[in-house]
Amino acid sequence: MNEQAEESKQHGKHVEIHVQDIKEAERVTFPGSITATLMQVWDKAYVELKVARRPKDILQTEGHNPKSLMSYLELTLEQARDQGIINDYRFSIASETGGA
Amino acid sequence: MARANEYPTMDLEAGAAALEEDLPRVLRMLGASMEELGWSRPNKLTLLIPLSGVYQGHADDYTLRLGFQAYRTWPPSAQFVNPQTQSYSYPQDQHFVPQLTSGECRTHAQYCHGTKRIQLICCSATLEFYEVEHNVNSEHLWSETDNFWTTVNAIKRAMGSFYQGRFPKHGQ
Repeated sequence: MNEQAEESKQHGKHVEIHVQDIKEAERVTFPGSITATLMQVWDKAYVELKVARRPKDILQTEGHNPKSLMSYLELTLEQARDQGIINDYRFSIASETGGA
Repeated sequence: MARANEYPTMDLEAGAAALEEDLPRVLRMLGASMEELGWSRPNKLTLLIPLSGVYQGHADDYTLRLGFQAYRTWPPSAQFVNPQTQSYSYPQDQHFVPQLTSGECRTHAQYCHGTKRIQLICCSATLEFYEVEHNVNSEHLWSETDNFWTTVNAIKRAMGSFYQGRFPKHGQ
């Protein structure tokens, strides 16, 4: 593989990650690698948001009707994308609620 | 902070002021305007928000009405309404309510509590949940640092994974 192709491949492993914190009504954008796990992305989001993790926080997709990602935290972004669990690199941190 | 087994107190001025404060914050977070999101604010205490769900390949549209009469000490009132009248009458409007069956958020087209008969979005982020004195774990109690997007998000998350179609049309 020549140097240019290698550089292109490496570039493709880096993506822009967007995370909303619903409780604080804030959002951050930061670079990340598609080899990072969802847990690592979630951890980094707190650093970027400058807030502490709250006991009932959950990580979810940011789509039209968001889906919880709590069962997939060990997956990398690449794996989650390839398995159709995420469609993009947009997430939000929400609070678990109680009900029924 | 909301408390279990305590009936919510209304404070219309505080509710309107809190909404004035939170609305631009939430819109900034979402990166969109009211118009772009299809929201409307028919009066200072009410927001109308369009939602949708897909069940068996069919998309259904809904209108969620949020009321801020006890906000932010208590969560917003949340009711699915007839989009024409922007109100809800049981049983003729029950098909404007989505069937949600999440452990965090379950809908009842009519819920009986004493002499009251109301639509209930059974979720600790709605005012009606406290009005019917529903059991709640302390960690799920609404906090004054929450905002109305917590409520909408909880409902949208249930719409994404636990939507079972509309309640049937009355008489069918």
